[in-house]
Amino acid sequence: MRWIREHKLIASLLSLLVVLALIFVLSTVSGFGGNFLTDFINNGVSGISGFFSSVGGNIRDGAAGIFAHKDLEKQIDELKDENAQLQRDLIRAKLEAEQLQQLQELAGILHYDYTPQTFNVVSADVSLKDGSNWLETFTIDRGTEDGITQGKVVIDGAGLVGVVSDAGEGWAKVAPIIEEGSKISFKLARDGKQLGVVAGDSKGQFTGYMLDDGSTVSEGDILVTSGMGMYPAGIEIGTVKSVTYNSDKLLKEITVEPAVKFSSLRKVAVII
Amino acid sequence: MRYWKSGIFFLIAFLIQTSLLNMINIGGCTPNLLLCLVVIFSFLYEKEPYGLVWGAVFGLLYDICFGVVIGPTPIALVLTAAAVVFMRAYSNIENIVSMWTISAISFVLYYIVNWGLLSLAGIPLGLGYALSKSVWPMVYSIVVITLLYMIMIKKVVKHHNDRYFI
Repeated sequence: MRWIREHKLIASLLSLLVVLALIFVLSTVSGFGGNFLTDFINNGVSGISGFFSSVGGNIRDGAAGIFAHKDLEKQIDELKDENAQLQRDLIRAKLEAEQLQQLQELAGILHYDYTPQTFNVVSADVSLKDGSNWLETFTIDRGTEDGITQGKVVIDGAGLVGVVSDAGEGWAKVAPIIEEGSKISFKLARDGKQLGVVAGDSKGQFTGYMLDDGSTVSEGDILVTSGMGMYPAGIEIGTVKSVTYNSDKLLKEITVEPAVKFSSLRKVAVII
Repeated sequence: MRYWKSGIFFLIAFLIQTSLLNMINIGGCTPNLLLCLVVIFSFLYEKEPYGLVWGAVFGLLYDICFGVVIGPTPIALVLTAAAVVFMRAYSNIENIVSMWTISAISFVLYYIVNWGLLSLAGIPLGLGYALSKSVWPMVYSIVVITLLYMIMIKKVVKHHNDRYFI
């Protein structure tokens, strides 16, 4: 007791560290899930920080508009060309849709069990981001009121983003796929018969392997989800960066650059 | 400075760290404002452990809101504050080079402790990858902490440029 009185600062520091270490151990062992206290804090922080996020977004957009005038003009020209191309693609797609309709009618006549893949999405803004610069975990401004719950898949225009790890009213935390740890079944976009599995490698990219060692996978191939497991089919995962043959495992191993640029995410969609 | 005043600094840093700052990041990097405040308050204020107390409180809040597990951030911040308090006893707080040196050591300590705890919790994160991703945020944080130092040193040490002032 005398030592504690004489060394108040050190005693306080040690007590604080013991308490924090206990919290850490409990959180690690029990798994960090939602409870009343964390939900309450998340609701409050999301509400207040959402204001700061919108202010920051306005500042960035305003500044970008001032300094990027020439870039914007160039982008407009590029978008005009892209628009013309898309118009042509649309016409072709309409023709293909008519053909598909005819094939579906034929499938109905032949009693072929055809189940079209449809899902609803809720779009959301990224309101908060983990500031550690390591983990790409972020929070979105939509939550349980829109049907977003734990385990829902999150995408953006570029491809697969991650999975909802926790959700409350007006917020949902998203764990990106590069950190998620779970394995993703994929197929090559150019050949849907060539399948494989990838997972985040804790270095900001994916590593994985092809199921068939005779696969023709090569650098630059685009991978999309195969539909097996929790992720719907056809969502872009990334581009193959390198291919090596592992003679011990008799497998073609690949490293994959994610399609999504996590550091600049602003809008996402949640599949519900 | 009173506790509640220093607490307001930490509260503002906590709120803008994950919102406004991310919207105006440079090259995807942001300074770690909580870490900057913990270091600067521990370095400049000898008797009041603002950095230690508020580092623990806001570190805990940070992990509750954004962490994968609760604990690594407050523990790393508290240990960093303790290390700064220890190092300041052997340095001159009016010397900016001392501040830079202590800040750099503290940042590396913070990132290594944080990485170690995350690894213990089973978060797959390579040390090389984590440290390589921390270089630019550290440089960014040094810039922020220098600005904070230049503002706060005037409050802590009156007439610090006057060598005859007692």
